[in-house]
Amino acid sequence: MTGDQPTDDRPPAVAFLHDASRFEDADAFYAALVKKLDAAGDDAAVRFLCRLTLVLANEIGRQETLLAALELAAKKA
Amino acid sequence: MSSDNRARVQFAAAPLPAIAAGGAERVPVVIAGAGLVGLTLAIDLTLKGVPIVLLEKRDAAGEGSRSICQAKRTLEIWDRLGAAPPMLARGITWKTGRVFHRDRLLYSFDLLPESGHKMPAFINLQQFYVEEALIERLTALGGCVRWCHELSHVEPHENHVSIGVTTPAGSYRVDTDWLIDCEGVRSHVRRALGLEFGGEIFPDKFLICDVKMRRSDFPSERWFWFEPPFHSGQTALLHRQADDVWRIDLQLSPDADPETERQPARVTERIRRMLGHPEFSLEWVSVYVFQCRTLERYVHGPIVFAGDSAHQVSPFGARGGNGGVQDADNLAWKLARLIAGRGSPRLLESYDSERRAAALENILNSTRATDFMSPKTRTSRILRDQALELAAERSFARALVNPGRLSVAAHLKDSPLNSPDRDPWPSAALAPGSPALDAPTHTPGGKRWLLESLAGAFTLLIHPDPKERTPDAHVAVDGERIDVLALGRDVEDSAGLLARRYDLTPGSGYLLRPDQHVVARWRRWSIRDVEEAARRALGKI
Repeated sequence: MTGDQPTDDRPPAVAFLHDASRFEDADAFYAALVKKLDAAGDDAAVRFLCRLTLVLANEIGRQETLLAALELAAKKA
Repeated sequence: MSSDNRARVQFAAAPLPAIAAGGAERVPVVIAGAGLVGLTLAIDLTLKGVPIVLLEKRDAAGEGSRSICQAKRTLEIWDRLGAAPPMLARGITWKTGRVFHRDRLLYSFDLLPESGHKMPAFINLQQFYVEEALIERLTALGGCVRWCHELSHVEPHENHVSIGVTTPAGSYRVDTDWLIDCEGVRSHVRRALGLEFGGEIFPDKFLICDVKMRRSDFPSERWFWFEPPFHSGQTALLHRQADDVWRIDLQLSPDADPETERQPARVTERIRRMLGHPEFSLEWVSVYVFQCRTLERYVHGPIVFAGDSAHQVSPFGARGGNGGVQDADNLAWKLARLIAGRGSPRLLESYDSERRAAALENILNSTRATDFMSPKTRTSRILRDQALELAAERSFARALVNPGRLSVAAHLKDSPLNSPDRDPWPSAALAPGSPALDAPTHTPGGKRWLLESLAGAFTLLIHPDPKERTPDAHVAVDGERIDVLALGRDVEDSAGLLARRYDLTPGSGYLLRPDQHVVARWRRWSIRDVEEAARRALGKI
């Protein structure tokens, strides 16, 4: 968690989420995600994002992290 | 609202009690409503020697099959009361559920994968049969139901309640120390006190029907469909009951007209589409909406609410009737001790906190299942459908699929009657507040299940330390008798499951309440530990 500690006024629910990147290759992941979305079209993209959310959520598993991630994502949605 | 083809057992109106003109009958406890909850409470209090009057405005057990899924914990309670054998003999035992999406099996589940329990995970038995078994048991104990005696007036006082009762032969008054309202959703007492439920009523409607069919390709399992081919875009549930009767629940659209949906021709066509053949007859039909609601408090001075009088849940999960029976189980021993002067008023406060927590848990589960079955927006429906699709492909996603989480015993982990663990235990399964687990044992009298030895008294279950003296068969704390159940002396662990499930080692022990919930456990217990835990469990500290 070095360099990853909360230093700002983020609400406590999301404060422990990682700020520093944990991606091995962020650009490659982003490009792959865009490619899937663009190939899907709008309706299929929503279905894809739903499935992706559930798959990733299972990989994370930890309830506290999942709920904090929901809060963080909902802040600017 | 409903039709019922069954020939019901009718009872004659009970006579008026002998009361001097202008006077009132005086009893310690009046129970209003002889449904599952009222009858269970009446039997338990009668067994504990508490005189009761049980009022019922009907002249028969309940109409329609209604609450059919009787859960393991409920059966254990009825077994303790001596009422379970006829139910087990007639009911359909099951433990397997299957969940389908369209015409594809998503997964199946086993509700009781381990052996070594007297009671099955569930039996399916029409509520009227259950009520008739309870009536039979109450009668055998010398009790009775006052049929056609309708509670018509309630006047609460600080320490008692005056009740007006109307019967076909005239009216009378009863004064009682405690009025326990088990009248159900349409409780007269709740209305008379001006008490309102808080919670949610869902817009979705459900058609519920019992069909009789001798020819069936379905096993004795719970089958649930999301978007089945025979009922487009909705859900369906199928259960087998006694007498070749099958319970079918079909989700309807929120704008469905209940009167139209109840028409036999319309129902018959829906069922024919589902079964694929016309060889059935309708036994009972009703339409209901999901309600997840509860009172803010269950104890109002000398008036106590239990079962559907206190809380309502949607039926998926079988948490209504089963939750109500646990209310009665929780209340009976506390009320009996209050009346006998052996418990503090805090005992009754614990009924309120324990059972409200259980009701809120039931409501939470029920609400989540309802939301999964009936997504509120287009996007949440897409999410739900993708969870179903994923569940067919990957086992992790089955955990997300919610066709109703089925009733289990409440874990009273935050109860003020518990003494917290001071020793490390490897498992939370039997932490204070947990319901006791069953195990096969041998006793000097022969084979006996552990729960049969926890027969309505406080019990100290111990694994004796050979270096120390084992206590006698009973110890007393402030006049409260505690039965001692010593492994090796009073019970033999015939299958090795008792020591394993309770992690019993020499010197360790559990204190269990009369309703078979753990209140304390120790790696090494002392009589002082037991005394303190018993006093706390009686609300005295």
